[in-house]
Order: sequence, then C-alpha cells, then structure tokens
Amino acid sequence: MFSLKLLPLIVVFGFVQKAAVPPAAPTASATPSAFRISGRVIDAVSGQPLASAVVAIDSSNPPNSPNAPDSTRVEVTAADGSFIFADVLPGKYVLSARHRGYIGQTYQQHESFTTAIAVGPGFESENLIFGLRPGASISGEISDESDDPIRHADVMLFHQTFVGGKRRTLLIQRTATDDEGHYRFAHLIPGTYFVGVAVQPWYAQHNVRHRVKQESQDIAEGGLQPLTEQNQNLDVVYPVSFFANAGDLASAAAITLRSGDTEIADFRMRPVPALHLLVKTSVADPGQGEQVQVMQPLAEDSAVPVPVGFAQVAPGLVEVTGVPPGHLNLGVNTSHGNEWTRRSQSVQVSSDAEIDVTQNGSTVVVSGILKMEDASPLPQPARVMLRSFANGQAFDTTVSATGEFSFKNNPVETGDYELIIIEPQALFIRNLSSSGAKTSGRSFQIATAQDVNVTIIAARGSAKITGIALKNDKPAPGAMIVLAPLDLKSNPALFRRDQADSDGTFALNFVVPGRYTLMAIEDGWDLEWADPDVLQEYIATGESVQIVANGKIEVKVKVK
Amino acid sequence: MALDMLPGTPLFTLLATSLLAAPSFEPPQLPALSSASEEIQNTGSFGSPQNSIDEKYTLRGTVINSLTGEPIRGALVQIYFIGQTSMLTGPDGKFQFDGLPAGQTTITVRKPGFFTEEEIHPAGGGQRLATTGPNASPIVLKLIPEGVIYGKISEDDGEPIEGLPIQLLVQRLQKGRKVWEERSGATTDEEGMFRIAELYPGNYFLSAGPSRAPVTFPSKLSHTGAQGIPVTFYPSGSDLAAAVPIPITPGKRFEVNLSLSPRPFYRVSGMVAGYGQGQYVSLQVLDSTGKSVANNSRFDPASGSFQILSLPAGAYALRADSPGAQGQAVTATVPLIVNSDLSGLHIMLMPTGSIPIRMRLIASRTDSEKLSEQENWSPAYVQLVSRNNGLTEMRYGAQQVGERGNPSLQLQNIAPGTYEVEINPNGMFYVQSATSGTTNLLESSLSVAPGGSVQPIEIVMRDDVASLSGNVSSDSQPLNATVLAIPERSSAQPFLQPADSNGIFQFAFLPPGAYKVLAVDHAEQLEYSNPDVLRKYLSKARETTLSADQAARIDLELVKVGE
Repeated sequence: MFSLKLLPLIVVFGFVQKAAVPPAAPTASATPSAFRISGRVIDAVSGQPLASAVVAIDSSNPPNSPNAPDSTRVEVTAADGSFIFADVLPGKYVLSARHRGYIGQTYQQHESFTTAIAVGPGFESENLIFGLRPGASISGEISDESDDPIRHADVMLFHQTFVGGKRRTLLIQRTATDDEGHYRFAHLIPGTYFVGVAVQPWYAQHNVRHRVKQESQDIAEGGLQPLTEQNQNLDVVYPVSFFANAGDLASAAAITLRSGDTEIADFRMRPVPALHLLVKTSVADPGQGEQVQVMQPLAEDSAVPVPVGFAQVAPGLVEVTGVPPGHLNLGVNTSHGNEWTRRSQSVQVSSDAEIDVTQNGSTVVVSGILKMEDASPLPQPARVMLRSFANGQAFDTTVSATGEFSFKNNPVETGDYELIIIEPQALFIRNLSSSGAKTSGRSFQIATAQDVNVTIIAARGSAKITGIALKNDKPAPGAMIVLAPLDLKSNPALFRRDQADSDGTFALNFVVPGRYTLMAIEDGWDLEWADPDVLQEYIATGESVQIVANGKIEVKVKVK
Repeated sequence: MALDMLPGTPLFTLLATSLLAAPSFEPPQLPALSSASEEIQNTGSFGSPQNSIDEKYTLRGTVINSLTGEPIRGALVQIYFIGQTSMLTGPDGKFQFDGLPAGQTTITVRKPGFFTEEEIHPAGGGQRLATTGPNASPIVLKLIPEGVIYGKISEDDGEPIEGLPIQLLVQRLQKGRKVWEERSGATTDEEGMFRIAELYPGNYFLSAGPSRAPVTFPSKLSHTGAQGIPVTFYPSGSDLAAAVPIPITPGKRFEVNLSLSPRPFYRVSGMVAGYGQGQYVSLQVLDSTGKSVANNSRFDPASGSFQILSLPAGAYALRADSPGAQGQAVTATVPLIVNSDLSGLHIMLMPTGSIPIRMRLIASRTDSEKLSEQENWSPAYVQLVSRNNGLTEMRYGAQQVGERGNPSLQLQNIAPGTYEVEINPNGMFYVQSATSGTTNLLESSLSVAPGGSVQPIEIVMRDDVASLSGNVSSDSQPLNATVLAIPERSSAQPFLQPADSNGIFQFAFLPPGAYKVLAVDHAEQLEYSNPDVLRKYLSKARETTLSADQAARIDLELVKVGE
C-alpha cells in the first residue's frame, strides 16, 4: 500500500522538475493542469492559415538558443493552422513558430523581445493569432569584365534598421559566390537593403614601382627612381561595388523587400588601374620593418580590408601596391625593438600619391584609470568599451588589476564618445572625469588632437525593476517599455527596454542606480527612441523612478 | 653594377592580413627576384649562350583545355626571366612574350576553374620549362578543367532540407599507403541545393548529414522526442563500406539528388567512474570510420553522470578520456549500439599504459660512436601509430625519460588498441631488431590490452649499413624512375630512392639483408606499402642480399605502373 501511494507522487514530481524551469517557476499541482496555450498560425500577409507549422513553447529558453529538450514542447499545426498545448502548468512561456519559406520568430517579436504568454488563473492564453511573414531573398551573379563568373567574391548585405533606437545601415550578412559566380541571401525580413561586392581580379599583378637611385640615398632630393613596369595592364583592382553600379553606400540603390519578394542584384566588375602609394613612415629599427594595413570604410560600423602589397623602398619609405581609388584608412605599424607604433590616417586617393604618416595626424589615444568607489580592488577580468556617437563604432580593451586601460591600438578622431564597462557586468560607472576633455554623464568630447586621459569611478549593485503596463487599468501586452535616464543625450548606455508580456508584466535587469523616467509605449517599435526629441513627448507622461543600488522595485506604468 | 644592389633592396612581399586576400595574391613560387629592371636585362638568365647576349627572342605558345583541346582565353601565363613577367592569353588562347634573351625559364599558367598538370601529378616531373633562342618552337600549355558535384537534398515528401552538411571523402596515396582525405564540403541552402567545385580527378564518396539541430517532434507522432537526418552515403545507407564512389574525371559535372527521411535521434545517458575528483571527462562518439559524430554531450563531474542528447541509430564506439592523477591519463572505449534511448550505461575508465623503450647501439664506425656520445642525443624517434581503415590516424610519440644523455625513452598514456611501431633512427643507424616480449615489431603490430601492462620495446640498432647503387634502363626518355628496395623481413616498408634523369641511383644507407629491388616509373601512383599490390610487380624485381658494410651494384629495367 505504501509503495502504491508513493509511486504517483514520484511521477508527478519528476514531471514538475522537467517543466518548471526558472524563472517562471510554475507551482506544482498533483492533478493535470487545466490550462492550455492555443491559437492559430497564419500568413501575416495574406491571413491564410498555415498548416504543418512547428510551434514550440519554452518555459525558460530565449529564442534561437540551443533547446534544452526537457523544457521545450512542440506541436504541429492542423490544416486550419490551429495548435493546442494542453496541460500547461501556470507560468510564463516563450511561444515560437516556424514554417518553411517563412521567417521563424517568437510571438509578436520585435528585435530580440517577445510577448511571453502568461498561463494561470485569470490569464488569457488561448485563441492567440500568430502571424508569420514569408521570407524574402536577394540573389545574383557576379561576373568580370570578360563576362566570366567571379568565384569567391565577398558579397555583403546591408540592412537599414533600428539599432539602439537609431536608424542605421548595418552590414548584416556576408557570403561568397560559388564557382558560377552566384550568391544568395535568404530568409530576409521586409525592409530596405543594399548589396556590395569586394573582390580582386584573380590575375592582378602588383609590382613595386620605385627604388632608390644608388648614387643618392637621400630620397628628399629626388633620388627616387621609377622602375619600368612589365605587367602594367595587369596592375589593376576592382573598386568595391554597390548595386547598381555605385562606388559607395550613399549612392547605392536601395532594394526594398516586402514579405516573400525575390529580388535579383547582378554585378559586372570593372577593373581600374591600381594606385601606388609612397608612404613616409618613421624609421624602423634595422632588420625590422613596417606593416601596412589598408581598410576601406563601407558603412558606419563596417570596413573591409583591402589586400594591398607593400615593400620598403628605403628606410622610412614604403611603397604600397594594389590600392583602389577612394576613401581609405591607412594604418602603418612600425617596430622599435619589441614595441610596435601604430600610425593611421584617413586618406582620399584618386591617383598615385605620397603620404606622410610620421605626423600624428588628427587621431587621439584615449587612456585612463578605472577605480572602485569604495577603494576595493578591481575585480578581474575587466574590460571597458569606447563608442563613438557619430558612427557607433566601438572598441574594447582590457583593464589591468591596477585599473589602467588604454585604447592605444585604436586611435580615434575628434568627436563625442561614450565609455561603458562591459565586464564585470555588475559594475556601473558612477562618475567620469577628465583633465583634457569635457565630460558629461558617461560621455566626453574630444575637441583637439590631444591624447585624452579619463578617470572612471565605478560602483557595484545594479538594480532590477519589475512592473506591469496598464491601459485603461487593463494589462497592455506587447507595449514597449523604455527606462530613460534624466540626461538623455549623454548616457545611451543607461537605457533599458523590454516588451510587456501577455499579462502586461515586464522586467528590466542590470539597472544602474539613479533617477529615471519609465514609459510604456504602445506600437512604439518603430520609434527612434534614442533621439531625445522623439522621446520627449512620452517623458512628460512617464513615471519618475529613483533606483538605489541593489534595489528591487515594482512599478505600474500607464501606456501611452 | 645594378645586380649588387638587388640583395640590398629589402623586398617585403608580405601581404596585409585580409579575408579578401584571394589566391591570386600568392607570391611567386620561384627563386627569381620579382624586381624587374631594364638595366639588368642582359644578365641573369641561366643557361644563356654567350654569343647571343644582344639577341632578343620571342616566346610563343597556346593554352588549351586538356579535355577538349580548345584554346583557353584569359589564362594567366608567367615567365621568370630576371623578374616575373605575366600576361593573359588572347581570345585564341595564344600568348607571346617579346624581347627575351636566349635561355630557359620556368613557365606557369593558371585560370580559375582549372588545375595545372603539376597540381594533378605533383611528383610528375616538377616545373614546366620553356626555352628561348634561335630554334625555339611555340609551346602548348594544358589546363585541366575542375570537377563539380552539385545537387539537391529533399525529404521523401519533396520538401527541401536546408542546412544539411555535405561532405566528400576521397582516397589518395600518401607514401605508398591509401589514406582518406576529407574535402571541404558544403551546406544545403534553403532550396536544399548544394554545390562543391574545384574537385581534382578521383573517386569521391559523398555523405549528407547528420542534421546539426535535430527537431523535437510533438507528442501526437508515434515516436516522441528528437528527429533528424542521419548520415547517409551516396547513393543510400549509413555505411561507407556500402557507398558507391562518384567518379570525377576532368571537367565532370555530377548531379546528386538524394531523398532522405527524418529518423528518430536517441538519447544516451549513464555514469562514468574512475576519474580523478573534480576532473573533467571528455566524451566522443566515433562512427565506424573513426570520425567523431556527436558534439552534444554533457558531463557532470560532481555526480559522474553523462548525457548525449541526440544520436541517430547506428553502431558507434563511445570513448571517454580524462587527465587522471599524476599525469597518467585514464581512458575507456565501449561499443555503443543505438536503436532506442539508452540509459544506465556504465563506463569504467582504466589507466593508460606506459611502455619503456630499451635501445642498444652496436657502433662500429668512429663517427657514429662520436654521435652517440653527444648529450641529449636520442638514437631514434619511436611512434605508435593506430590507423582506422586509413580514415583517422592516431600517433603517440616517445618521450625522453631519465638523466640527460641517457638514451632511454618511454611511450606514455597509451590507450588500449593495436598499433604499428614506427622507428626512425637518427644518424647512420638502422634497426636490426625490434621486439616486445615475443612479438617481432618489424613484422607484427603491438597489442595494448585495457589496463594491462605491455612488455618493454627492445630495439637493437647498428651502423654497419650497406650501400646499393646502379642504373635504370628504359626505352622512354626523359627517364623518370624511382627505385624501391623491398626488404624481405618487412616487405610493407620499402626504401625509396629516385633515379636521376640518366637512370643513376644510389642508396647510401640500407640495413644488411635480403632485398627485392624494383624500378618503377610512377611511384606516386603505386600503393607500395601494400605487399599485395607490390606482389604483381615482384616477378620483374631483382633479388640481392647485402652484407654488412657492403657496397653493391645492381642494374634494373624500368617497370611501368602508371595509369
């Protein structure tokens, strides 16, 4: 009798362990749950039901992470697109669906946010309508000037998108052409795209064109002598090309994709004579040399390396071959013993040119010290990130145990920058100061070409905000939750966002202590929320919240 | 005048690091400096007759497709007089270099989609030479078109399978032994299509799968749990032994369309014991070819439990390894037959073995005596080699143990298995005998039992080598011959020596003993480490017995083995 009683208990306990994964923590129940998650999967464009779509509920895992089989349940939709998960324990579940030819997504997905389904007494978890959008594609063929296909070409897809609340054009995918010159980008969401190609003629020959006349080692007095070119007609490059026939992203043709579109973007590459640059560098130690790297900026956050050749023609003088015309970043590393000095310069070239990188130019090295507010030792490993407001470009570097850091490998130009502690995550910036640059919040301005030294005071104890978004006193699923610092302009790293779940609840983690405005915005997913002017109208009706270190607060916020 | 400054001109042909650095930017493979100058054009070409120093000559030729004989336009031809000179062939496949001195140059040609003859037959005579001068005739350069395998993978209901890995295996000869080589594969796109180009001629075995991300299927289906596509070899089946090779000849385009069904993937779980506290145990599932298949295992060092999350049905070996205490690794390999979820597996890790090596040197020559007295000198490098049908190879090298200058070696952390013992002497020594207990390691493999001890390896080496020289004769010119000296006592390890273009060869160091000696034209195409393959040529071999310190001579007729 005893064992018979015990057996069902063990079975139930085992089941609860499997399904009740934190943070949802549904409560254990000895009887099967009366709750269900059900609904229909439809084509978001046509409204037609989608049969045989794979629908999953997952009590703990974010989408796209490797599924732990124990916590995932899967159903396949019927002919009318319907699905039912029966016996679902109370808790919160991430609902996702996929179907061939459609973009797999989570329920009401925006960026990496979703409306999780709350299950339990009083929650509506049935009759959900889950719209999937057909994926679009861009494909094409790359050929050379003789109409031969170009294989192994680097094809880049740029997407105009919202990142960090700003409209940006970012490199999102790369692929290589096959032996027939074909490429293909599939599963694309609707939006505005650009395609670019970087490849070099397979036959190109870039020979050094100069050497120093023997009688005169002094290059300053015109002792440099050009060599006769033997392979001149093969000394060519393909400039980076954007669809259709454009030399840069600004003049490229936008490809606008709606759900299910299949667009073609073909390229015919045209060679132009390769440029030869004579670069004056600081003189390296004998027996050691220079390394030259040339990058071509394409979009605000992406640059492609240009496969140049280089040869020292005299001490302190390097010839760079295989250079395409256009806007380039020229980086020269010079060795002095075990030390490398890096000089970089942004240049616009249209013909053979001489470039002097011995002057520091306009670039600035940012370095500094990171101290704990309570003078405790800095936890290791630690890393800080420097991000440009102008173009979003970011570099990170390690912080030593004594707090020193330097971005010496990534000299930057003048402008506005922001510092962020990216590791350890529990630390936040309490205060930023600098003797040479004007600081404001977590950001600072580099006005002159002088190296900048900053002092960061860091503290621990980030807080957590949970709450509920309400509209007319009812939960507002899907609302965008934005936590904004008082000084909107100088602290982009302090923003936190979430999407309200089906019961209207949300959670904001790793909140840096301070004063904020909390807003819930309906249909806010297309807002440029990082733009203070855009956000201003919502701030007036937002909730003002004061967050203390290690705090945990609960807030009700009205949807606007 | 100009020549002496060339070496002083530092030429860094280093390339900037780049993802885009295409193969077209390879530096020239030739010794000629790539700095070109008119001033120094009169000198530097090797073999140029003195009386023609001011004469200029033209080098003409055509590049053709070796398969069709058609001319190839836009092929890059490069010659290396003084500097490197390059040009593309015209629409008629023709090229012409003017103003050249009389002499000889290496000439290369390439074009995407083609292989050169040197790439297909690496040992077939080296670089192509072109001659310039009063009587030079136009030359013909051949390019061999690549092979391509392409096709579509779909489920049996016609739905394309996306993201399925496709692999190619090809068998090649390496040092006279058949080895498997894995070619870079592909992944099917959203239409289920794949395409693999740049294939040189050969017999390719194609496999598709397994699915990288098995899907969990709903409770309504007959089998709940994960499903995915298991490994399938073309044309069907999960076994390489039953697979049919795809013959790729020059220019071949071969289409492969496979219709595959998802199958259940199973879970395997159990316990591991015998590892050091807090240490990690790495788990590998090896398929019948010895390749690691599943990479989704979990191990909990605290409890010793392990899980393999998804595995298609099949016969595998499950191998577990852990560092173990005092540097002695522990290991276990158990057979794993999967056709349902498996739980409660128990794996006991056993200590790996250490095998001492004792070497005895019998030196009769003064220079080898001197050598053996040097500090840190090890008379031989000993390796245990485990081969799994040639698909995977595992090697254990010997480590020096004991005092400096004491030529004592030990093989450490040897997992149970069967090994060939490879002994490579340093200096002028040969292996007279190698034994472990009663096993003659020159003839037989070494067996290491699980957890058991192995008898020390005893090696006797001598320096009273013999030499063998001679002449290979043949009616074909120019002569391209390799001489094989096949020792009677270990016929699977012949000694090789190429003959020069006149057919003269010399082996300077051969262990004394009985040999069969054979001269062949294409050793690179002969599986000479396989005595069964060699047997059919042995009737044409000559026999000789070399005594210690003997300098013997032998003349041979060339035997054709190629093609």
